[in-house]
Amino acid sequence: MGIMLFYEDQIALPEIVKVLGRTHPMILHFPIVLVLLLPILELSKNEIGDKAFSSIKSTLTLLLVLSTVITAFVGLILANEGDHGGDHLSLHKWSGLAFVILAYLIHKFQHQNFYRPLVTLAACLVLVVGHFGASLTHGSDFLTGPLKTDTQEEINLEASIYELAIQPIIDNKCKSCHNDNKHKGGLNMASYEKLLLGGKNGFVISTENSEESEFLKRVHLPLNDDDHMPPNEKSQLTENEIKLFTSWVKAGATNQLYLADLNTEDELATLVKNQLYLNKQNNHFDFDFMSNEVVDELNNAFRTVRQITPEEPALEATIIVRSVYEASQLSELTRIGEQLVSITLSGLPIEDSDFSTISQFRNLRKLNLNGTDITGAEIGLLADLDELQSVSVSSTNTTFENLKEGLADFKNLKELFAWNTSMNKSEEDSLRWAYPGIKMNFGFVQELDELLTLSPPILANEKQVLEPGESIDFLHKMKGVKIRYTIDSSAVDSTSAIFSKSIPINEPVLVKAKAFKEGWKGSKEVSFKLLFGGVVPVNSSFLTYPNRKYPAAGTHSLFDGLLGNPHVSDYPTWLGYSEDAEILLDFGERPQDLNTFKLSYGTSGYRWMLPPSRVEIWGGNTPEGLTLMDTWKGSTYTKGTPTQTEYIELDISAQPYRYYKLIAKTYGKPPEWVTKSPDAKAWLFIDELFFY
Amino acid sequence: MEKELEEHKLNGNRRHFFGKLAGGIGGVALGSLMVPDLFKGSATDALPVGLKHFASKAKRVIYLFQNGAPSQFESFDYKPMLNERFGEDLPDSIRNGQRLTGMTAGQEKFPLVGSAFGFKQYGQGGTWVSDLFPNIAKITDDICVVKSIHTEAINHDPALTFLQTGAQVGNRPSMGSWMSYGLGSENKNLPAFCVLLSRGRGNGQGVYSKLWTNGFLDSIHQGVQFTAGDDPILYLNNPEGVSKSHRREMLDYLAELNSKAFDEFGDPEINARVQQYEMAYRMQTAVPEIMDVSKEPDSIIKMYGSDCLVPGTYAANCLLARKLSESGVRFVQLYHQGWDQHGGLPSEMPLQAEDVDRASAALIQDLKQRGLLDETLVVWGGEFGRTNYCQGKLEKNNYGRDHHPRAYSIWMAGGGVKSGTSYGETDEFGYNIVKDPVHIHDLQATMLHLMGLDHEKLTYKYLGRRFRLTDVHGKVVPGLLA
Repeated sequence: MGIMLFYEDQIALPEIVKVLGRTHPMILHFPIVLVLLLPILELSKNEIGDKAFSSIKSTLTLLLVLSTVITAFVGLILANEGDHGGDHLSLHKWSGLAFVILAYLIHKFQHQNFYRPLVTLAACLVLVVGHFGASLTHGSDFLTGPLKTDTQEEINLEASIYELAIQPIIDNKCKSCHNDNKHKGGLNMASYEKLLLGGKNGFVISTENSEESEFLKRVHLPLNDDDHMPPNEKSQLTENEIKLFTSWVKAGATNQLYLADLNTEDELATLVKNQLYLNKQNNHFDFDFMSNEVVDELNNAFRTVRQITPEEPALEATIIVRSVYEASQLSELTRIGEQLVSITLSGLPIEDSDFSTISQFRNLRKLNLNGTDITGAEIGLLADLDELQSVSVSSTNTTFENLKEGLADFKNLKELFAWNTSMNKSEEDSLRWAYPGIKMNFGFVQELDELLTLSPPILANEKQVLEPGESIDFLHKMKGVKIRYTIDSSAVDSTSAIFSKSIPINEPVLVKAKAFKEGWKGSKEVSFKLLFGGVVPVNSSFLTYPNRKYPAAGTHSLFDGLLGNPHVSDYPTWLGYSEDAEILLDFGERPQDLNTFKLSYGTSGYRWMLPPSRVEIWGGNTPEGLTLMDTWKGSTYTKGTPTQTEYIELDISAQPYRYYKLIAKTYGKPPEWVTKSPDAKAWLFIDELFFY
Repeated sequence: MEKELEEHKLNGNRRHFFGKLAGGIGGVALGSLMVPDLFKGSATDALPVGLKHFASKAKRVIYLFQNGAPSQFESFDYKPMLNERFGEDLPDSIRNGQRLTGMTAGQEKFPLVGSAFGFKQYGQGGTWVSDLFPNIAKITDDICVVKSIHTEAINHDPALTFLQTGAQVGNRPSMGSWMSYGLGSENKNLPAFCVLLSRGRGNGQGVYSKLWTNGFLDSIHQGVQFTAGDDPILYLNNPEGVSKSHRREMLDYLAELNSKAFDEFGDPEINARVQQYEMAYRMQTAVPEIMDVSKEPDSIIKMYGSDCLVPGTYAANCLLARKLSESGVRFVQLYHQGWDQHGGLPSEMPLQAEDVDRASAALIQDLKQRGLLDETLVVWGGEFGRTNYCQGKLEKNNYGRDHHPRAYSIWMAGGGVKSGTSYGETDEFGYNIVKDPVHIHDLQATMLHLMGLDHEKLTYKYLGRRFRLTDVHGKVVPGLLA
């Protein structure tokens, strides 16, 4: 132990021993308790009896000596790690040693007269040792911390950048582990000079090749890297702080650099200002809370006033719905003129005369006037608002002249959003040039030569299955669009008929349509197969049911005139069959003269939505006595068949019957190009049935 | 038996009592040592509902949910090695026992397949984006691509439910409901949580209203679905023959009856109902103003693409989302279906990408030019990723990908997100995460953090325990914060 005490600097201990050292903060509690037990024992001497008393005392003092020696020993090992240093460490070390000797004396002279004074002395000494120890781990001002008041430090812009911005960050984020008393990794960051000395791993800042500095490397390592600084669990540097460090180190990492030396546009200067400004923003707002009653009174259906966070008095307000806006909605907010820091008035009929009201919100930081009726004529009134940083006047008639003149006296404005105003490109540029300190956003610049495709026209009719004589309409939501169409299934081009009024449809046709507009690429051609509804049976029933995943609306869906979307398998009008479909249709007692039967179905190879392999139509006057009338046989489903709705036509002209039965067999095993799975089954998606 | 029990009770004496007490106190002390906050007391009760827990930039969320799970390999996670090793079997050492869906569990081989589409780097951060998303590529400086999201579910419904509610089984409150509960409403004329659905041309998967449920929270926090038809909110307009003043009168009498019912039964749902009637009444004024896109300038139509004028399309929903968000709707949830490319990916995915690319990018640019991007958090992504191997038969120009929960990509933009960067990395197979994993609960915790809410403090007591969106997990990811 003696060796450790005097020669600790020259000893390098193996890692495993260091673990022992780290037990110091834990076992140091034993001697404390033991030394405090001794006076209690003295006080209860009379109750215990002499014999027990002296045997307890002897045991306790022996334990005290042993625990004290062990504590001191592991303490020395811990000190050897070198993370701590300075006055507090040596005070702790030597007062601790004094305590070891005192403990020994207590044990040795436990039967002497001066035993009691010794114990008293030890009890006092343990407080001293403990205090110095705690100062090492918790920091020297830990104990008195709560007594200190937060004093606002005046920012002295004359000071060097190091003092102004770098040292405060270090004090906040690094110094708890790298200070005069505790220097983890041998590094002390208490002052610039000490920082330059570096730590156990060498210099942290290299003035010759500053970009190679260890200081920066550590900061930039990923968070979960063991060498990342500050350590994962500690408070991290903000993005601005990292940039500031980087920029300062690149500028030579000197403490002789002053803000005044730098160009105002210099990156480092901006970062320093940001940092100081951010510091300022993090400070509490220096105004009082508004009473909850007032805030509650100001809240109504079309006006929201809210405290931003529970701790701070700042309020934000939003007024909405143009059609019910009244001027009092805004003017009443002057009651919270001091607390209001953000206000959103977008879309309201706010006019230039309202700027005088807004200028009464003394602490306003953010103002949103998008889509209001202002022209910016009185915007200069806001120049008195020292805190105002962000103003949005997008989608207004704000003019260049008004902004150019009005912004002149703004003190703190950081950003202006002025997209879609009365300004043209060159006015925007000159405004930017006039106020380089304000970040301006004039909207996303579109590539002018880029022609975009229009969306295709929409068929306004809900159903593509029409009654004879019904007409159709096309729809396009964009203003100024021309819709051209054909009804003879020829392709639509720039000479096709222009849609202007409803188109009467007299026979089943394929109509095609396209949308055109100046400055846009014509839309894709869309086509709609228009059909006439046939005779609807009195009663239809499933002999085999569709899969329960695709039930549509039962048999009703067979004749509802709504076509399915073959791109979407769970479209609500599909009747999906994974087994063969059998459907019985009853046309009632008076048989109708029918000629053609039509079945529509969807195909899409990717979804195993395949055509049937065979379709049969049976007819008869009783459900049991049906005869086969016509058959359709499918062919191999080839790759590349588009996803679409298809139709199968069968002849039923032979004789009118009361009952017809449809049998549609599924494709069976899908072709290999669809799936190779041996268990796969093709699906049949039936859409509509037609009897003509 | 009774006698023994009685004796056992009587046998307890003072010594036993102290012995047990010591054990108990020791246990408590040990507990407090191991979990330092054990006895800190809960600050939860004191936190006012409807206010941020701390200051933050974002006020609102727009979640562009790409339902069906878009493949990360054809969008943001560039893995050229998969192209080089086309058709080779996925090594077991990489798959590492990952469970498979019923759709590929029977496959004998897992042939690797790379993107059929090219990739380029964009923006100052050199973000990789595939050629399918030329417009999103233009806004990479405003977004943060997270390539290391991982989830626990491998099928659509549980994965969706997990992402939205923090649990794979239904009936917990959705993320939007939690935000509505935590932050309150900015606009009392619109629901705080709105839902918009659209459908692409790819293979789709359903979405169900349980995804926007309020769960056990008050029903005012439930998501309200806007539909594409003439009535964006069903049954909002007065029926024929009922005038506005009639409706007002009816609501006043109804409120009177309801307040009597409340006095009698004290059920808070009655008051919630009254509030909802009142909100619906005000929505009759506010909603038409929101839905009216006729005043949007041509440049906006151009930005979002002309589809934005066709109700029910993704582009129209993006435009509507901007308008709702601008009006103070706390959480706008879009679902775009059709991203489930088990087969035919090279032909289906371009259709899907074409539908969402321009409008997604336009939304970011539009928010930006209005000065709203810093107060709006936008998230784009699906419920899980897709496999690096082919499902079904692998052909030169045709393949499909199955579900993959271990790693996938999303992007975030706006309110407090570290923009212009990529976060997290997967291995060169794109199968496992090698750097900075972000679990779904971490994503949820981070989103709440960006909105000024502490995910551990935003709780609701139900069935005797406190529930959170992040259950008992989740860490805020500092690397995603600006």
